Amino acid sequence: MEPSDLYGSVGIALFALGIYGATALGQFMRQVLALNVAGTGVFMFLIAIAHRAGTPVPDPVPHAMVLTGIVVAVSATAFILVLIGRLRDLSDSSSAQDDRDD
Amino acid sequence: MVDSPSFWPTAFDGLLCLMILLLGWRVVFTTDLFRAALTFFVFGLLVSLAWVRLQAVDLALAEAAIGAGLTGALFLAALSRLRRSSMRGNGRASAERDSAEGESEKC
Amino acid sequence: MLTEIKPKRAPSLPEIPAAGFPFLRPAAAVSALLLFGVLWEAFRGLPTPRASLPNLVRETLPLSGVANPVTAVILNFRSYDTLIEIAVLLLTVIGARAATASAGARLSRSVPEPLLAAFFRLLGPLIIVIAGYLLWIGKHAPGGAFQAGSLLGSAAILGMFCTGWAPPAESGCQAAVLSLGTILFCAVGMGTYLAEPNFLHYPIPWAGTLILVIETGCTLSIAAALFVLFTICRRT
Repeated sequence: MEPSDLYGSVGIALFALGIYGATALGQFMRQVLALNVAGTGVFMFLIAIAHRAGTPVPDPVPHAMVLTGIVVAVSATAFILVLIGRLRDLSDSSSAQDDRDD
Repeated sequence: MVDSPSFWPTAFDGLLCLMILLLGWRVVFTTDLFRAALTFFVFGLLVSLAWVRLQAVDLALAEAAIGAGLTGALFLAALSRLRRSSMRGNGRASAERDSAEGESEKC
Repeated sequence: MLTEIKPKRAPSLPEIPAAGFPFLRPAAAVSALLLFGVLWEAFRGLPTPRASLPNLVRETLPLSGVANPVTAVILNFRSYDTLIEIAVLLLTVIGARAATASAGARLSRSVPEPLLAAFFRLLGPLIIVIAGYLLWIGKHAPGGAFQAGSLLGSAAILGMFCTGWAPPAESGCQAAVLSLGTILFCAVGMGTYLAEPNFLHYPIPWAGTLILVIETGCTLSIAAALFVLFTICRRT
């Protein structure tokens, strides 16, 4: 099996795993972690596609896309973490549970 | 079989993919969020190795710095902030319950 | 006594409160498995690629001003995407600042250990030099603005932890460095729009210099943005 096939399958598996985690689990932090895993799976799939292009040097256009994607994923994760913290700050006065769906 | 020129690279690829899948599973299905964030950090580092294996060296540099390092650091910072705000908001009872949970989580 | 020792039971994973949808977890698991199956079949059935885009990139690489194909694609052939990406990073910082503007809490100043401060005095300049190297080498070898910028941002975070230095909440210098990348990129774009009829269409003898100028601005901007995002996430 070529390396690109193996990594492509792993990328798809990570994507499915992340989507399950984002839909079926409870706390916000867990969902954000799962979404990041799914995003990493998508990147791995894209680079595997770039690697199987058949040229001696892999296709640089998906590499540029994934580089942009990594930076945008970090920005989105940081923003959503700030929002989670803010939501927790605004609503922490009354709730007593620790494991609630916050 | 061990003498063929593509055995060791394929074995390395297989082992790396197995570790990546295992760590990805652990990130999603761990009970403790702190442990999940640390596992995500290691997961990102192994994915950086996978980029090198797929001849994407720029991506390996960027993933190791931003994807693994900075995202893991952001998660840990946000977790510590959530823990501090919950301890402050709920008083002492939650802090005791937090420390008891933390002790029961340690292996 | 012995009867009071309770067996340790790991807390189960919390679920979304299933209002009227009690089978969320099995349904999601089945859907994820189906998704994996469909995608895998599609991936297996992909035709053998006819490499047209890599050949195009390789042919026009001498005209782009750099020797690294990934840098050429990012900053010359698809430079508009990179402009939007830097703008998105700036927007994220603005949004994060806006979300915490009314919180009003200062960043807690950590007490530094002298060993950590000495360690950072050795490591900090080294990281800056390596980041500058990565920025410069991006024209010939793997490297570039994003790698250098993320390294600088990580050095700033490390410095914050090792030396106890905490940044002020807002300042004009911060705003200037944060928006430097976007402003430089747009300035180059407007310059090329006025000189030639196309936005971000570098004249060929100037391409390498313009790319380096844009990359330097983006490096500083990315470093500042990542550092500010980290401090906002950490603020009590």
